[in-house]
Amino acid sequence: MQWMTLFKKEMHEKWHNKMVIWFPLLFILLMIMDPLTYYFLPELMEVVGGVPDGAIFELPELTATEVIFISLEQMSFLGTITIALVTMGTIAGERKSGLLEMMLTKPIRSLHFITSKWILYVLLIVGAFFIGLLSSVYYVAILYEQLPHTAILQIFFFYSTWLIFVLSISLFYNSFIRTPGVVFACTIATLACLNLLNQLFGHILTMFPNQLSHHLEATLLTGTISRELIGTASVTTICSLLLVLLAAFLFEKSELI
Amino acid sequence: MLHVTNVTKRYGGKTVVDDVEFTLHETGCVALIGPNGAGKTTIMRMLTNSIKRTSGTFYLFGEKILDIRPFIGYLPQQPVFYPWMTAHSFLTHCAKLYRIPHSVANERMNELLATVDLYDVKHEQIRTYSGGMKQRLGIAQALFHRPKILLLDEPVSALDPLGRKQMLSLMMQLKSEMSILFSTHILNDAEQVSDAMILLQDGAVVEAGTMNDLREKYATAAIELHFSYDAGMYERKLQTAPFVKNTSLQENMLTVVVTDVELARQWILHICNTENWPLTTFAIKEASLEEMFMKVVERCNG
Repeated sequence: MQWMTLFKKEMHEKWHNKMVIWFPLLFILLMIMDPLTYYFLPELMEVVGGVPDGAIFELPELTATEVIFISLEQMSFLGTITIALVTMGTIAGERKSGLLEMMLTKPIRSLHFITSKWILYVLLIVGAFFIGLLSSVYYVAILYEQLPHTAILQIFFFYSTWLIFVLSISLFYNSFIRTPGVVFACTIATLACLNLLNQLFGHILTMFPNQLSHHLEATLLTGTISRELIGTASVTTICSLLLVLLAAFLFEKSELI
Repeated sequence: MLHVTNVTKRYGGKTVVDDVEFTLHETGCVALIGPNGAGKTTIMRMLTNSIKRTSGTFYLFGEKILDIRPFIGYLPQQPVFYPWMTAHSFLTHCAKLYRIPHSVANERMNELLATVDLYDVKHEQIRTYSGGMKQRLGIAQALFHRPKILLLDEPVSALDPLGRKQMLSLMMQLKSEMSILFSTHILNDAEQVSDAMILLQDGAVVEAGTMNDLREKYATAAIELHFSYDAGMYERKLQTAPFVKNTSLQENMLTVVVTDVELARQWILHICNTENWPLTTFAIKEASLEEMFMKVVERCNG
């Protein structure tokens, strides 16, 4: 009941700042950019010029899976930054403005407060990703070839856990840091550290969250869902849930000013 | 009703609030007075749990309580709202958080919005409101769930004279129904509405008590005399009288601090009559809060 009240407030807020509209549009843009540029690369180079006469470019023939993976790489980079940017002030901003000082004299449970925000962003991000993915798949189908439905669902389902993980990291820092910019910096720094750890110890830590796209690619190429992929997705989801619980705990303990 | 003892806040080695103790009764208005930086807001924030106290115990109706939030309504110094909400949607949101049934909430909202004079703009976005309107909406959200204790942090400092007057009269009205604790650095406001006061300096209580007790304690028997001319000459004459402690002169206004008001009045009025002094005003002054304040501050500074 109280949770629904908080959730509806978040929903109205995202409706009022039009995030419901521009956020999916941004994801569509991110996801379709690469399939289009790769396909039209020869024409683009001709138009832009600067290629000496007689030079011939041999571009590799890409399969649909490979193209969609270039799209996902774009998501791993720009998509991650976008998520960190849009969520960096979700609590920190309210804390900084002084809103929380007043609102939290009202009977609001920390867990409800945190999870209402988290669930809303999960829905928003997953929804935007789904729409973005479908538009990317659409262009891939037109320009290259049709991707099997199971592959689309696998990408959607497993890759979403990574995006939710990024969101959870940002929410975690939001729970105790009061400056949105610092939250953003911490989120990005954490992701960079995870990436470094993955590169150093990835061969041992086969279920490290950063391994997700690697396993996903393997799964799409072989056509069978690997145990590593399920394991990594589970680890990533559990990490997200732990971060949310920890965020609620830290939020309760932290000062609101 | 609420007894607060031993409340201390330290940031590192710096003590911002030092061992504060006070009691609020079921009704009435208590003013938390002190210069800027005395720790008024910090005390408020510790009561609302938005900052954690280093030490301190709260007792509600004699029983120890960790968190008094369920019993309070709070107006921060600068109330901030979700700018895209309207007064109506914001109070509805609050009502739901307090689990107030819809029908009750609606009736109460209309009543309250009329009281704070926001009824006509209740469907306009809060981002369009002026500072005074936000302050009034702040009062409305603090009162909405009918709290036992109302905490107001500098409720009038930012308001224009009219808003200030409205706020003070609202407080006068409310203090018969609930306990009000409000902070201010404007002594005049405190004097107008409060029944008791707590005087803070550098985070510590330097004086506290009901207004009547404090008036008695710090009563200066002073007589204010206005002359049409030559006040200086009469000052010298008055200084020779045995009951006069000291005098001070401002233009043609002479303030005489005396040991015995009754004797002084008879003597001064008599001499004015017989010597035909050009007296225009004669007034026996009650000690104002400001003088009280100055005395306490002077005493504290040694």
